[in-house]
Amino acid sequence: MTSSDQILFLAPAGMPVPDPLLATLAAAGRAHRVASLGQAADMLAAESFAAAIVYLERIDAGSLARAVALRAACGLSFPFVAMLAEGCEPIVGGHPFDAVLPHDASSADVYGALFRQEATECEASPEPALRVRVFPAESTTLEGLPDGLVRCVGDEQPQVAVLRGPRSGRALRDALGVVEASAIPTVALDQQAPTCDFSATDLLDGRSATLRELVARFDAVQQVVRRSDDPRIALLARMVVRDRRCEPILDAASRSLATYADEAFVAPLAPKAEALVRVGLARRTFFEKLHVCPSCASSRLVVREVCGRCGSGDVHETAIIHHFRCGHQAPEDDFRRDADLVCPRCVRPLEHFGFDYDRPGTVTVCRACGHTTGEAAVGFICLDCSARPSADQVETRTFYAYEATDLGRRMMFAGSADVDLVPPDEEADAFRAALDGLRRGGATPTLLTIAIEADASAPLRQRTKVTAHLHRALRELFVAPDIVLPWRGGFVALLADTNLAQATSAIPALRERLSSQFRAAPDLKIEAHGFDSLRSLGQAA
Amino acid sequence: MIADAAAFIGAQSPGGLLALYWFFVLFEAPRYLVGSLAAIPVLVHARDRTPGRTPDGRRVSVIMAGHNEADGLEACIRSLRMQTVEGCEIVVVDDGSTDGMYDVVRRLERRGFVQRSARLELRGGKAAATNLAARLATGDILVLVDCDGSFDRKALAEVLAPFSDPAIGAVSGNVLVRNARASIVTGIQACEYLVTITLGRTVLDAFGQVNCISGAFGAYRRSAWERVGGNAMGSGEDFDMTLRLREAGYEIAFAPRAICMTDAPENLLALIRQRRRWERDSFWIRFRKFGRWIDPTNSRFRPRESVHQAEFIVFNLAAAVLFPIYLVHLFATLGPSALFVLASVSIPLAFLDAAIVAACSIALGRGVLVKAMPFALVYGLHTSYLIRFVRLWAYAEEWIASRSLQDEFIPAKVRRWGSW
Repeated sequence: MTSSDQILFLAPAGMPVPDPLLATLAAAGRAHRVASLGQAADMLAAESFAAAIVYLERIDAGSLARAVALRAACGLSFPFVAMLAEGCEPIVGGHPFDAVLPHDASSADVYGALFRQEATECEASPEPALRVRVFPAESTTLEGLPDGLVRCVGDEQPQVAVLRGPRSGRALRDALGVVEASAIPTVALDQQAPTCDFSATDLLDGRSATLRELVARFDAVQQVVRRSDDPRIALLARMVVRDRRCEPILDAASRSLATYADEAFVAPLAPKAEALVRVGLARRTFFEKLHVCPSCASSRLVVREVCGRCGSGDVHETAIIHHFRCGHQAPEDDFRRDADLVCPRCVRPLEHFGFDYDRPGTVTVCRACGHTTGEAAVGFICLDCSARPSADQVETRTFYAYEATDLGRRMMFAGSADVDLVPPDEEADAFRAALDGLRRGGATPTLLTIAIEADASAPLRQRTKVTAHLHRALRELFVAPDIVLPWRGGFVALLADTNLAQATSAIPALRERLSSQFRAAPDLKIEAHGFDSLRSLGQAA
Repeated sequence: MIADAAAFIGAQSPGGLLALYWFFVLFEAPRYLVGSLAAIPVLVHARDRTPGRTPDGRRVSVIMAGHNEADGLEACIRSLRMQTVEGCEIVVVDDGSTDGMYDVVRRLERRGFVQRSARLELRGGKAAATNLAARLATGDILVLVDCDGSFDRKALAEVLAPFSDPAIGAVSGNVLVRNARASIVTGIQACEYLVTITLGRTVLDAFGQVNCISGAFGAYRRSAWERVGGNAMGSGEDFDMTLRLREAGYEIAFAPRAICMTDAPENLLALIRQRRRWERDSFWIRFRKFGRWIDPTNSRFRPRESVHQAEFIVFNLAAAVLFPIYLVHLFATLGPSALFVLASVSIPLAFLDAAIVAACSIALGRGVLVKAMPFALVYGLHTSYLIRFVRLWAYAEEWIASRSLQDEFIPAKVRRWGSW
């Protein structure tokens, strides 16, 4: 069955259809749904179909009779498959179906039932050969690959990409579209090729059926989606065709300590996957959170205890001893006299733990500077740049595993590429809403823009703290009806009752007040804009 | 009846009046005439020890040890960070807390408000925990504070000022009640602290007789602290430390303008428990540990120390013992008219108390404490009746049963070593 074949789909009107079945029907390209046997008979008379699927709510004499009648009308020349709704009793014998699928059958199962049935009906006809293109050298033979693979002829669209050598991935991307290059099933002919879905050995070991499943899903991806040059669509297509998650793996050889195997085909992967998550085409699950060096962004960090004062790693923990009789309490070293413990205050020996003395706690002592504290601090050493950040200086980076949602799968198979993957500009929306609100109230607001001339070398956490502190300070200074909003890394203040001249003259005092809120005042760029320029800003936003 | 009683009193000869009022003549008149009225001018003209410049805080360690003080700790440390004396080291020891106190300490340490800390998994008592804090500290002056105190901005400067005199081994800060308006009981204690601590120690300081540094706020020269071995095991460690320092030859000063505020017990039961403990400590430390100072035949007798011992014996011990005898005799002699005799003294003294409290507040520069003046009207009853009976009770249980050795403020593992 190909994407041009048609499927007759019989199901009661209004009944929701399971996604796998829907996906299969969409993959078929042209599915005709009918609600009654009469309509089915009319359709059969008008058009030719490659298969029929009956979706059953319940098994009773009536529904079986209708199925038998429909089979008779269809003839025995093509697959006739039933899918049972959730809660439907299983069919025990006496049915006209070539295959009966449960409600939770996957799209692969549905598709497979149709394929197998097609193979069963045409006993002598083998599975169709898969069209293959080899990258990068066209002259390379398919030696080493199992039967069933034929080289593409002319402009035929390949169904499988066979990669040989380290440059094969680049050649693949150059030859095919962005989405096709990412989504097409790949077979590696040698170990220099990028990580592929299969190796030649895999196929020879009998994984050809799995390859065909991938090909089936690849074929089902609509042309309008294939023609997209959006790398985010490419990632989605890759996930859907392979029907699996994009999952990172821990990789000590990588600076980030975690890599996605799929990044050989879609890079960088995480930002594209996040874009898909934001619009509901993919979902993510937590994988791991790793610390990141603030200097070089590497995750190859060694963690150890350090002195909170001087940062030295030469710290040791020592017990505290409390001598009950005289009340003296001090680090154990004060009590040590060779192998004995003697109180330095009353010079009595400590003999019986728990009776005349105990060890109620420990302190950490730095041998470098002598600093003493209850707990050592945590410090890191970056193995890539040798920086030694403290615990509060390191950032974290979270890795997720991504998988397509049902919406994403439907997008691939049902053929819509209309989803706007540009995330909504929340700042612009808030700005417009605030401006509209003030205008409706009759105000002609003046705008103050407050930008932070941040030191780019400062750790991100420090820059974030400064921004948050500034935000708090601005919210305290500007009260209703004035509005303060985040804007492009800084802030804007919409002043309802202040004209441009007043706002401009107030800037020095404002800067001084804001600077007084900080121990180390950041450089602030504050500008005032009149209402006329405000409108153009709003439109530009 | 009142007229009859008034006529009866008016008809008394001087000897008869003495027979009626002997207790007040012996035990109250000195307190009011010397201890209060004379003390106010002394307070106003207290020795100005304030140095010309703010002391260098870098050689000062503020140390504190507490058990389950998570609630008040941050406010206390922030108050210390607002001092005019900058650069002090703050050392905190968590003595086996179960309320997350050490989480507060760590947070403050990360922010740079606390420089050194230690957490004890097992509680060992305040004396030992303070000893550890002193051991971890690096300053030449150790300022001991309670974990729930709050301080005037110049409190540290004021308490450090006397150390310019090398003879000074320790300085007592001044302690006032913060929650004076919480109840009548706290209002009365606010007056009491003003009179006994502010006024009382001002007078003692004038005569070199300061014999107790407040555990809530006191400063020690490290060399003096180490010379006497830090806190001893047991309760009343602040009083005990002061007497040991005096015995070692150090002068003890009082800084009336080094003000710390603390919360006083808000109900009568808590107040009585607290005062029983304090009075038991006074009894056993004075008589069992430093009894040599009232025995002239003892080789370690110190005439100078015998003065405050004698003061305690007369105005605390003897007054507590004789007061019930006086009351019984008075009522047995006069019947209900005895109330008039008592009232004829208590009422005028109440107004005098109120005036003293007001004057003391103003002299201290704390006009807001004038609002405690109404409580001063019952302060006399509190001191003369309630506290005296609590003292008698405490002295008796300490003398008879050594009750201080069972003080639950001290963990059992330490208590079993209690002796003197």
